[in-house]
Amino acid sequence: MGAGVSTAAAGAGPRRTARVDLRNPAWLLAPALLFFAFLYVLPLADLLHLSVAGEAGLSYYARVFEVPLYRESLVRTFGIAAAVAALCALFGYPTALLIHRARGTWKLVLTAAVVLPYFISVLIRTYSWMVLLGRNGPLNKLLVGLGIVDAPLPLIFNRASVLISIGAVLLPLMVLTVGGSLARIDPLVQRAATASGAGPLAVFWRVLFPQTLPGLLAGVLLVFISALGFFITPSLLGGPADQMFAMHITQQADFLASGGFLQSLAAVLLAVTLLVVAVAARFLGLEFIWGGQRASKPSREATQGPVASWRRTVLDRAADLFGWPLLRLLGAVPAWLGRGVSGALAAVAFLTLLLPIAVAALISFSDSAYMRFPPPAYSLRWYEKFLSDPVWMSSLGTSVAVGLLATVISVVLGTAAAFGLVRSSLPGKTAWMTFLVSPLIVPGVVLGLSLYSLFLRAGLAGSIPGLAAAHAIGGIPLVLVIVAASLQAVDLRQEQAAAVHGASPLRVFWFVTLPAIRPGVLAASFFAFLHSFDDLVLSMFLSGARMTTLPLRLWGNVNYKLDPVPAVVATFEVALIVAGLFLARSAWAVRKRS
Amino acid sequence: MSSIGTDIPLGAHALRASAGVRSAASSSSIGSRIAIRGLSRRFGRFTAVDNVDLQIEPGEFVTLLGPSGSGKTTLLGAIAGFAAVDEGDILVDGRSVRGVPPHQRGFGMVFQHYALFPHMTVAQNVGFPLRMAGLGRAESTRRIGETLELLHLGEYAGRLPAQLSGGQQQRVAIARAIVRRPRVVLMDEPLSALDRRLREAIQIEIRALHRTLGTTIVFVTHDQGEALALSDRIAVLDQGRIVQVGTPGALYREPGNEFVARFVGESNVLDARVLRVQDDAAVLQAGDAHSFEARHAGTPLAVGQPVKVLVRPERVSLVAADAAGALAATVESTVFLGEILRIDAALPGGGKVQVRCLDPRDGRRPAMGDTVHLAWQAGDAWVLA
Repeated sequence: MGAGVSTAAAGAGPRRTARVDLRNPAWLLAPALLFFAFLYVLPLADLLHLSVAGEAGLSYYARVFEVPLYRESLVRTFGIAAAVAALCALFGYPTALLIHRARGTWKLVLTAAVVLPYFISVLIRTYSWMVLLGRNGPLNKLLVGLGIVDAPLPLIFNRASVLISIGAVLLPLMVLTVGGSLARIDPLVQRAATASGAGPLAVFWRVLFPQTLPGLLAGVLLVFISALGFFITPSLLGGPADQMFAMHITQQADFLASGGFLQSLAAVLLAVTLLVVAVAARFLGLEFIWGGQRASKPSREATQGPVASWRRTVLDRAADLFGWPLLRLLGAVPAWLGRGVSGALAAVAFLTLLLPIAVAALISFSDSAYMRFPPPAYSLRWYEKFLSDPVWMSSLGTSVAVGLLATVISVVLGTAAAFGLVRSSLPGKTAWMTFLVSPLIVPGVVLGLSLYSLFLRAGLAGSIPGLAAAHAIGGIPLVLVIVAASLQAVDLRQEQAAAVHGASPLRVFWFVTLPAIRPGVLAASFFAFLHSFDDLVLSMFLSGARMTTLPLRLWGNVNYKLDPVPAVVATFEVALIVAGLFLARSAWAVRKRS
Repeated sequence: MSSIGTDIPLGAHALRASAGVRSAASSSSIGSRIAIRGLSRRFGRFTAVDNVDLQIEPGEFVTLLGPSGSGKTTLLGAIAGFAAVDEGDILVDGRSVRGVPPHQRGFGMVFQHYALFPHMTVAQNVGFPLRMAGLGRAESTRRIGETLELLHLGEYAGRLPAQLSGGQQQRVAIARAIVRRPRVVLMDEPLSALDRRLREAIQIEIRALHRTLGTTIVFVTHDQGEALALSDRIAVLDQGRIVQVGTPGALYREPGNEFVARFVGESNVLDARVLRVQDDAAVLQAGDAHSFEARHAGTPLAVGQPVKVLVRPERVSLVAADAAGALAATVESTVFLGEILRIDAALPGGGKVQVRCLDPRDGRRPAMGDTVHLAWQAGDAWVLA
């Protein structure tokens, strides 16, 4: 029973119909679907059409695979994405475990250390890595100072710097995904394993690890998929030998000059991404995209085919002969050793997350015009420069305006869609959800290029509403996921209690449902704003010649010369996010205490 | 809402008026009569409620009792207006409530796990139904205070639900349900989350409230002890159907079938054959030799017919070996339960008998493997239909 149950069908008058609609609000999906139809599906279809339009046929695609430059960069992109995913798994899993086991304030601090970088834009974090690894950066200073090397090492513009910085950028995604699966584990199960005589290693390997495996896999795939479309970090930190596939799409001066070739590059990138998602979905269900879990295991796992059972027997034999005795032997390994190893990995992870931000914050107070480290003297001259420069200020204003408008669009359409999805009795909810969340997995360059020609034709290029709408394509899924989760957590009995004691459906929403989902809606607004405020990729394609957002100006600045102004922006953003997190937390604490 | 502060005129507008707030003066007036007629509710191929008829008298305390999945909560949801109805009708004071949404039915309801509004104080929770009815502030404050006093919650008015114990939250939920002085209060397993002592204490309070307010109460539970303790009448549900309706005493002494016998109270159900039939009694034979008299509901019985017969464990007593009509059995286990001793014994024919008796003063409890002799009074055996 519940609000999802429709009322009796026969003999309904007009007033009744209105009430039925409130109870089965599938129509609330319509605004988001319409929005996506025009700004997401149509442009992507247009992109595919352009890639084969005219006399070209499949010749553009042939070129993508025939020209070594593109073919090799596609292979290279796969390699880099796989390496980044492996790095994130290696360092992210222990980090999630450490946070999971921490208690009280310590847990809060560690969580903040992961969440904070997650909110800071990719561009700013990449810039921080450039500062950290630069020729006169702190790392080189340290190595020279200790006498390990004589001259500064070329730490950037190579493959290692690309892997480390992309890995650091995507590490929070991994930690949060694994953390989610750790949080779902019944803590008593571990105690039960220990009480049954399992040593710390056996508890981890046979009890903890298998239960978090879906979470780890989901994390690896999310990192892999995100890394496939990366271009900011490899552009700034990579050398000529580290060209990633998405970079080819952005490096053309005029997006229209090459006919449909760019579109075919984008189509290949999209196809490759979707292929990975499809393979992943076979094992994890499509729910992994938005951090959910598959409702029930497919029945085919329950019935073992003859081959599977044969394989199982062999595996069981192997486990009996080697695995279990080894685990029993290793049961003697003291717990502190395991804790030490995972703690060391986690410590490295925290360093890569926090050190660049700290260095950038320090540089922002430098008195020097060069990227000297440590700064010869401290001053606020770069803050003054940033705040008094009308060019910087106008791009900040543009970004805030675009961000606010994008937030409004995302929250209104996303919240309505969440209601339509959670509260209706619509069939195929997973399919609808997958469609509405899918913009998150489409690489930004593909989305940007697909919207480019549409915006030119519609005269939307370079307009604040146009860019805000483009940002809302990614904002709506974020809002949808968060608000849908908080809606699902609302106790339907509370709504029934309100209804039975005299509250009409609208009043039930106002007095019970809305207060319950308010924290979710606020968090979603925060995410949606940052999603727009941090965006560089879509802005590159869609802002035209007249308009410059803050990330665009930063991009130009970082590409042109390395000065401390981006560090000022980075510090402002960190301060803003820390303040936001604090406000959210204290508001939450007050609610809990009073 | 014109009826506030006046007596409710019965008749055409009774239902609508009761959706508002009844005055304190009318609080002793009786509750509504509820008639459930041929009600069915299906979910796909599963029939949750199957052609249920039930008449609930004004001011009556009726419990819907059944195991999980028996349809009792769906039935309560249909009365409240949450669950759709496929067939049949529900009449409240003679008027159909078909198509009347929950918020216009004017009932009070207590939910499983309370369903208090977490962001509202106790006073705001209790005042919610008054606010929805548009009652004035002064009158609301008075009503809230009055109701909180009634449930010994006066000092907690400013607290949030999270700052209350389970028992206090339960009282707030009850206060919210009765603050409008509704003619009908629905209760959906309201005590299931409480520990035993608290449950018993609140049972007594609910009974007292029912006497004071005179409302009709429909109570849902799977706990037969709770149903026996609280109800004027109990409707036992199984697989969506009402199996039997009756007073607690009647259900316990004269259950209509084996399901009711086993579900309500502890039971021994023995296989027997009919030896002789009298007007309201029959002589039965269990096993090879033992014969005894049993009451029956008047259903026709034929000599030689196999029947099931119920003997409550506390009606079975241990007797001396030479007592007339005693049944010999072998003890399988003896469990000391505090106020009583529970003995499980096996009959030679294969049946099992449970005995609940006082712990012998001399401390000589029958041990496993001992042979005991069992007997019961003629009126304590009941033939199940």
